[in-house]
Amino acid sequence: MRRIKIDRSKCIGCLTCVTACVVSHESCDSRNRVTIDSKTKAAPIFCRHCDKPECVYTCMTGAMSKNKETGYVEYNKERCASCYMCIMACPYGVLKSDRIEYKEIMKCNMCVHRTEDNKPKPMCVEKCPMSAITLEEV
Amino acid sequence: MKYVVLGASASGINGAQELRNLDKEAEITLISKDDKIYSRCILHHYMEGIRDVKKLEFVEDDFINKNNIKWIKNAEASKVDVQSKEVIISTGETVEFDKLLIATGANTFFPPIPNLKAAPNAIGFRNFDDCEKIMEMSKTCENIVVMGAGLVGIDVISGLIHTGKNIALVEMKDHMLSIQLDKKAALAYEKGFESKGVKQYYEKGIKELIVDEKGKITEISLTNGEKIPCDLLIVAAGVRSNVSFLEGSGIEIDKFGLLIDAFGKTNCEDIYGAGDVTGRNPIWPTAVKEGIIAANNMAGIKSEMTDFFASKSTMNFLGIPTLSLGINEPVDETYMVEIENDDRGNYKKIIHRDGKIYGAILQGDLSYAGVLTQLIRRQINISKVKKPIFKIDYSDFFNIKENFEFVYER
Amino acid sequence: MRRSAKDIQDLDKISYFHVPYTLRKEMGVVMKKVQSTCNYCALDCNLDFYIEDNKIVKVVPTKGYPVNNGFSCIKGLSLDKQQTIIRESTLPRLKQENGSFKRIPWEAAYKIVADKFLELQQKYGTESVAGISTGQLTMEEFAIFGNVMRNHLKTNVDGNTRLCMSTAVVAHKQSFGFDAPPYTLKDIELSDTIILIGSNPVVAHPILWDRIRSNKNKKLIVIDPRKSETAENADYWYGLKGKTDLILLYAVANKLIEEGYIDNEYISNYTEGFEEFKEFAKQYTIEKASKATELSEASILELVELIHDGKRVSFWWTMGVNQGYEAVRTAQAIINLALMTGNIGKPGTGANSLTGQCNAMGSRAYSNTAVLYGGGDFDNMVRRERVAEVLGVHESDLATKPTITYNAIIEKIISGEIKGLWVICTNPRHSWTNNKTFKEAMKKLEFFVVQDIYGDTDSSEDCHMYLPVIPGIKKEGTYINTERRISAMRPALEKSEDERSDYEVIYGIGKALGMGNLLDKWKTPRDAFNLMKECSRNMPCDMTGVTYDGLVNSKGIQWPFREGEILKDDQRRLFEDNKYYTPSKKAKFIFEEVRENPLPNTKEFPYTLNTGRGSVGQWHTQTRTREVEFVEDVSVKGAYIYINAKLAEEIKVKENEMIRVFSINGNYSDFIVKLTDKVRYDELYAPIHYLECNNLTPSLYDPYSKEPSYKTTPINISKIDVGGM
Repeated sequence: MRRIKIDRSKCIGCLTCVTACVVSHESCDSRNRVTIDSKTKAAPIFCRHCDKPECVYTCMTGAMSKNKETGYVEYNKERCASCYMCIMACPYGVLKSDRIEYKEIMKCNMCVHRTEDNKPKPMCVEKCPMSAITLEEV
Repeated sequence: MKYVVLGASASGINGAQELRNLDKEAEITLISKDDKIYSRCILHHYMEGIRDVKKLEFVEDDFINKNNIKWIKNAEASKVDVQSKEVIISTGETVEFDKLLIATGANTFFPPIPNLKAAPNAIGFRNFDDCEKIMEMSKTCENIVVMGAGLVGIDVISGLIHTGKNIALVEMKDHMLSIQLDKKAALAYEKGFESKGVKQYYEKGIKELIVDEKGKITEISLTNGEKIPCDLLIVAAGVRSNVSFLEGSGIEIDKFGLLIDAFGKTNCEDIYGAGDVTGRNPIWPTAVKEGIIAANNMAGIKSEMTDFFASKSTMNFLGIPTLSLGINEPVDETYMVEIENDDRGNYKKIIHRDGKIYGAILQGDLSYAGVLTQLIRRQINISKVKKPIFKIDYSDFFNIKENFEFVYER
Repeated sequence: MRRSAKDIQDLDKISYFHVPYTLRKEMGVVMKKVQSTCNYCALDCNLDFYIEDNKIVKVVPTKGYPVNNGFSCIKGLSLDKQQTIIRESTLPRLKQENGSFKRIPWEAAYKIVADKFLELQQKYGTESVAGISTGQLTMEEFAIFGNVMRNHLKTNVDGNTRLCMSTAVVAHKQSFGFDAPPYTLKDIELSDTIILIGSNPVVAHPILWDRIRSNKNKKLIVIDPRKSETAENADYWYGLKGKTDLILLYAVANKLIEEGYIDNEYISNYTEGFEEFKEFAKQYTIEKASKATELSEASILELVELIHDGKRVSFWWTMGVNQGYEAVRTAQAIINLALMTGNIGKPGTGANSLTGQCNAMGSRAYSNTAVLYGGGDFDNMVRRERVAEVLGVHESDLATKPTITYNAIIEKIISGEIKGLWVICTNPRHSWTNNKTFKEAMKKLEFFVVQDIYGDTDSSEDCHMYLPVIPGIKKEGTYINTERRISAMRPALEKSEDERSDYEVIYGIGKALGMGNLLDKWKTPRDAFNLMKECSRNMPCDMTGVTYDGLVNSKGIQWPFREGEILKDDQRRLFEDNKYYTPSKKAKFIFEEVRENPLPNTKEFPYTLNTGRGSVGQWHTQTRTREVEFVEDVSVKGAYIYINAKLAEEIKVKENEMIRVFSINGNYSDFIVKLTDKVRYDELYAPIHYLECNNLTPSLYDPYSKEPSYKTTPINISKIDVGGM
């Protein structure tokens, strides 16, 4: 599967990736974030589509599920019960609910909606001016 | 290879699925009292009418066929013969197994109050048929009383408000959801439910049930002498593991439930267990993980449970999200408490000592809270983090594996 | 599970996101969409605001808008965050005799300001009150402010555009005959040789960077002492010593001339002064430039070849050029290069100044400060009569001379000549150069009025009269961007009864000043627009073909666009007919000897401080962007400075430790250290977003534009020991 590789040393905290995420989904909120640590070094915190996804294990409606073929962790907002267990379960604090109604989980989908054949086309990767995030095969 | 899985909820289904993922050829038989796959955690949404049966499913469509599972529904295991490796089920059938996964979960505990167990209008809230019974009965009754203000009790209340009936809540502790929430966080819900007409009785228990000649409850007498009318009592005072069928089998159980090790193994060879049947850490993610881990070990792949942190929960009632981790009050004065509050319903509380966090409650905005779970679970020392405690995020623990996944370092 | 509107009993149980828009409409949930203009940087991206219940539920950058086509930077995307965290009272705040504050009604505030200003003028003279405006308000607001302060009160108003664009303005006027940025942003997509001088679009103009990236057939050249984020992505980077750009540009010009790499036809037909320039440039040899810039001769020659090789060479500059002590001549040196190589007036070419603020262009043309409305000098009688005619007044009612400049205003406050100051939409205590001088000025003022969204900025927190005004998401008006594109700002949110727009406040004070029917033609922003439109008739910036309403939901229209014209192209450039605005219609070669640095390094101050943007998310003094959580999460909270790792090692200071920086202006500031190899050994770089930065910059200005020299300040540094200073 292809995952977004994060090269933290190149990140300038410009938030173009956050903008791209919001624009790609025409959403009220972003599915990724960038923060700085105690040493003021920028840290892009993106969904990893983990091999052992805690959000999937904790989801009791099946809204979060691991796609066996693509390897991506998919979120189905129709099934979601807005119980927030996944927000608590994600060890890296990637998840949140939308800021308007607190019902939808802001979950990265590798922008597969941007392609005809469901292949990943993350806009964040496309727009990053410093190539700090790139799409790589793992 | 013949795998048999007892129980079709979180543990059983995930266990069966994992077995199929690992072994395309093996025979997998699923035996369950349930005749459908449904998430017990959102049963109250069905009761409320905002979800239909199909939407209670927590797996993909046509899960059983896709995974080539033989499913014996409406059947309870009545006995396990460890020597001959057979399960005798309530239909009379005998099912042979090479490896067995016991994931029979738990059931409503009826406290030893006289007339309770026999009362036809005293129902638990654990299974689908409990839910259907309540929905049917609530049509004709007037005074619904819920015993126990834990998560299940509050689920029930939120699922019944739409009926417009009189609803009362009786709880021994001084506030609702006392395991997860402190008084302040609980107050938001208490006030909200009060405004919806739910009468709440705290620091009181049910002393006596007044029944009619058919044994039906008509009134409840509380421990303080107060009497409240009741024509439907929902018992949400805890659960007990479904292990009675294991008596005399040789499979070890204790007062909580089935005994398993970190690999999901019981004391008997080839017999595994997972989920609420163990009576420990009875939360959904634990059940799922234990089911998957047991399945791996059953299929010969060594897999170990490492996440024993179970005092974690989230809830969403009346549109108010709350998250609770660890302890909800400081144990003594050596523990520090940080609180952040605003006028928009956001309440944050963190309990810490010597650079380690022991508990947290977030109400309102739960964004990005997952890091707190790890800080408490792993007892990570946060003294080096130079951020306000409520703003701590993964950046200070940032680490990337070779396959680009994140990881927390030792 | 589909439901029809009839099934839905209890609206508050339903998640709207599961319900399609058409059904939501049926249910009575109405979502409005408003297209408006961003009011941060000069690109003026357009954004669609989706509103439900007077709340912005999402922001989607406008698809198809020529500037940004469906994308934006985090600042524009987050305009809806304004006033969500910091909630200011809607009433004016008066500082009383005893120092305490009192909130008063609007009419009372208007009267107090008006009375006080008139009183001061009576006592101390007409020019004892002044105004400091901005480049971020609407064109209509600049216009009415200019009318009240400059025409009626006959006093001075300058803006923070002085700190950003005045160099380009003067350079354009002298070289082209009018303040006319000649390009369209599309030129950067068509250029095969893009030369950025003192410009860092990755951080300062992110959407422009996006467009540069989409140009797959280009060479990107960056001239900047710092290896900026843009330089890191460039094909060529010339890391010259700070403030040696003028000598480099003259040397490049000289070499181009020597090699015959020039367009003789263009020069002879469409320019004047070339022969003099050619003679003048001879003294600037490659050798001389190499010595001064510390670039190798080979690399300077390489730059010359790159310019020659390019078929469509474009030059773009921003603050690195504008904010210097010989900035105007540097900007003109760039213009000279474009003129002599014929790289102007054609696709993908130009000498292109990138504007900083969203409506600096609107301010330049319509603030009535440096020139009359729509252009023209204050002593041009024909122009005076025309403008007076449009405004419905007598020519003598108009201001008689251009304003004194920002620095002069501050100096006169300190000297006691100016007693009253009205600051709108800017934060001089933080952003003015040598900002302690503004602190001094604030103390001296008898009456200090600040009009701003926030009452807690460095400038507004302690003023005599604070006038709270609404942010752009509640306003209407017109903006003009860096490529002369006129666009509409329309309110996404309704304002409450007590809230006021800048336009209303200025109007209210105008009335209280007794302007009476002098304001009849100025009742609303639409009125002001129509006046300005008429003033622009037959001027280079003619926009008589544009209507106030026609701009709504449009692609914006660049000036000039004359009445009756048909718009054939959304992205137009100037000078395609090679006719300029000078009397001779020819562009001028303007040049001057490279001066000795008037503020050179000394033994006591051997290092040099460079300043500029630190991040995309933080805008200037952070008064607005502090409300954006995305930005706060990633911004350093205290002042920091970049220092070359080698130099840091010498003074034994490590990453995240503190250093004290002493400036030749007499002040010092403490910064958190950031080590890097991207700044020159003896040059440090401090982001402007912290007060500490301009505490150190000097009171030094370009002689022609009076723009401050922010980019090279002599400094010294020392490590601060932990636990004692």
